Amino acid sequence: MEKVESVCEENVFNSVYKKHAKALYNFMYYKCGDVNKAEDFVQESYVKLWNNCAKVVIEKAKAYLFTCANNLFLNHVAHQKIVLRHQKSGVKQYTNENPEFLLEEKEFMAKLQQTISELPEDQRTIFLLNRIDKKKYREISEIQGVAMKTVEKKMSLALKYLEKKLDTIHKV
Amino acid sequence: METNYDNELFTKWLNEALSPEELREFEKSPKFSLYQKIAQKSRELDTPEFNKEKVFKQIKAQLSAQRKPTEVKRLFPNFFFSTAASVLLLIGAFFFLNRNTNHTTTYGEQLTITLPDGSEVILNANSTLNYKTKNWAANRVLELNGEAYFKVKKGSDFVVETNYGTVSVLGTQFNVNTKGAAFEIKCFEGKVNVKTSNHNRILTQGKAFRQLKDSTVEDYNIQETFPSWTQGESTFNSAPLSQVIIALEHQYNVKIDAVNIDNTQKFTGSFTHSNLNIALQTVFVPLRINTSKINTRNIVLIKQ
Repeated sequence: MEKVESVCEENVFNSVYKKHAKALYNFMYYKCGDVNKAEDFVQESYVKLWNNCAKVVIEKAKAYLFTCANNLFLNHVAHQKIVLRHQKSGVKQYTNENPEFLLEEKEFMAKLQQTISELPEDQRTIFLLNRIDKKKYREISEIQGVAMKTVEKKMSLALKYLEKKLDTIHKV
Repeated sequence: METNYDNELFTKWLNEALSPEELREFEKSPKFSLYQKIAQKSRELDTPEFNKEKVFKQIKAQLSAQRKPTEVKRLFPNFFFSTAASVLLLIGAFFFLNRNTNHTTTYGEQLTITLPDGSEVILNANSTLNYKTKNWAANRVLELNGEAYFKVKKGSDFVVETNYGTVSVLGTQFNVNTKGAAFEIKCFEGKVNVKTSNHNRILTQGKAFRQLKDSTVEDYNIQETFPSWTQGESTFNSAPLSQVIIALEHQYNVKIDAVNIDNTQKFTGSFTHSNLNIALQTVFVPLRINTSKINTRNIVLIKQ
């Protein structure tokens, strides 16, 4: 019989960490918008995984981690008002743009971030998983443990809201 | 409507699931530039740097800091309880399966018992019946002390053991009486095999067998098809008076002093179970014997 890899083995656990830690961290960050909290949730989830390593098969480790983190999130901060402060990076240097355009871009970006932070938690998470982590709806539905239709519906709601809020600031 | 359709396309677009026609149509949307901008700008967003190494170290630190749960040494090992339980269960099963079922009647009482195979036993006054419920169908053995009427269902040998001998049958109705002076079997249906230390009889329907204390044996015929005592009457057929007296004593819980009379004389007849005075009269008046009650429990018989 082929030897089944167990999460209880340290090297397996380490590789599981390397594989999923960043994605889990992003997921938690989209949910709570707090760097430290997201880190805490990741840490707690992995500690839980290690403590229950005998009960979790390696194929389920990812799902276990995400469910764990989500539960921790729900337990701790679901009821709190969340203010997102997303960081900008990789912004193009518009060297050939005039200052007015740059200002508009800046304004748009600020408004975008604010609108995203206004979204309900589940819609925001789905939107950011798609936009930042470049995940397909199918993958998001697996991570969230919901139907793909639900993901599409929530995404559509999020986009509607963004469209409505950003329409005014957007100049054609 | 159009915005709804645009929204649908937009949603699909972000999933990169638009067909070429849909894409062309979507690009024509008046809000396409806004959609494009939202898509682009949101893609420029980034998550803060995640310090993998640092968090990993924290996880390791937390794991190593976790106190190993104190090992609980069991006072009794786990198997102790299961062993104890199974031993108890075995003992219980042993007693349960081997238990003797015991039925007893007192003075003037009758009891109808249905045995596990459906056979019926009617126990007359002051009698005891013992049998084992375990493996009843294959081993129909009863111990009887007193008098009982058996309606036996067909099956394996049905054996009634008494102090005087055994009665074994196959599907029949018969009466066994071991009270006092006699060992008396009446067969009402079928065939009964009676074995005492000296005698071996096969009784057929309507036949009866009686062995007295002095080992004299009588074979006689009966007319009734069921023992009269089950209907509130005791019937005797040329029975020694001593046997009738014992039956009276068992029925009414009295002591009958018969030293002054000849209790070997024969009695044919019956007495009721419902009234002592009437019973005494029906038995002793025809025999010209006076009864005198000393008290409610003691009766003396005097020759006229």
